[in-house]
Amino acid sequence: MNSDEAVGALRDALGRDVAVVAGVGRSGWAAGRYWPERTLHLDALGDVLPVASGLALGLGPAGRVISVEGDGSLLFGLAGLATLAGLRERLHGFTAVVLDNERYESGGNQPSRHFPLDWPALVGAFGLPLGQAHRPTEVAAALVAAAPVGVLRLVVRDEAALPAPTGTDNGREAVYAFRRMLELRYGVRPSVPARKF
Amino acid sequence: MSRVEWERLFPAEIDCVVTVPDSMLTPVVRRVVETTGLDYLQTVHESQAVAVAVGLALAGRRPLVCMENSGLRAAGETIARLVVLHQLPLLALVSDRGGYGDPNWWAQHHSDHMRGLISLFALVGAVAATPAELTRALRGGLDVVATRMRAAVVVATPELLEGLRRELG
Repeated sequence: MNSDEAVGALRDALGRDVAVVAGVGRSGWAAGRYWPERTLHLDALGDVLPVASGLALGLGPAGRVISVEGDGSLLFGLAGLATLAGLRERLHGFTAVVLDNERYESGGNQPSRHFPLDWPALVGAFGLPLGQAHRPTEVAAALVAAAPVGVLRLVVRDEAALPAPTGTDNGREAVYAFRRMLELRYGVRPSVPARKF
Repeated sequence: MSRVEWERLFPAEIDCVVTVPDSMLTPVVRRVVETTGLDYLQTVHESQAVAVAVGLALAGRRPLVCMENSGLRAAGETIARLVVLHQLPLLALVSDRGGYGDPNWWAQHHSDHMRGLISLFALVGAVAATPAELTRALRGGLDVVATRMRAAVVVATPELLEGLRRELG
């Protein structure tokens, strides 16, 4: 399956009411396509998972949060698995979604690793459940396998080139839009009004 | 140092501590946490602490990142991306290691690099040398962070932390 099919199947399984923290590149593009008003795009390789974990902890049971990143981003910030494992008992439901294409696609399709990565051993070492899907029809069951707090590996191959970016928001504007969503959906109020002395 | 009011050392608005343990700071933080019941999250790397705190703050929480000052260096890329590029808020309390007179060879550059990083990332920095200054600086940092414009770092002097640890007995 390609990334679009994988994330489309995930969108079908999860529905619209999700807060998404995503990376940039293919994973961000796919997340933004299916949750356009619910996705925070972070240009921060390796930081997607811990930011999403913190958001999920902060929102509590009211918020269904997922992170969406490529395998290169997860490998860049593997400590995020330790963070997630440490928070596991406190989160009510969280899925770390990894689009595994074994490539640094944004960097020119270089391999993201030169060794066979044992995903069950990696994720299992942190005591987290792992769900894996190679086809769109497997995504819903893999999502269940990764519950309640775990890693969902979507094995993808993309033949078509990543479309050129069309969004105009910069990093700060993306945060601004995401804050508005959090306020409207979850009642997260801006911290203080401006003051004059 | 007069008797420390542990329950008031950190402003009540702070609702979570996210930390990487540090021998100077952690005993003090633990006492505050034990006294107040403050939420406590321990991470394995300063970049994780910063990123988790950013996520918590997005959800409306008011976290405080507690770490050694070298943590600013360890988390440099995460701070550059999340705090500077995306303008996501952060309030941090760091121990000041490597200042004049520090006998530890391994800490020698920590304080110089900390000051450089605070300047490089345009963070708002304040130094706290007494418990009252610490409480005041953290409160000021909360105000800065609440603007959602800049991050704030409170630097706890070795003398302050040593005095607080003495109070622990």
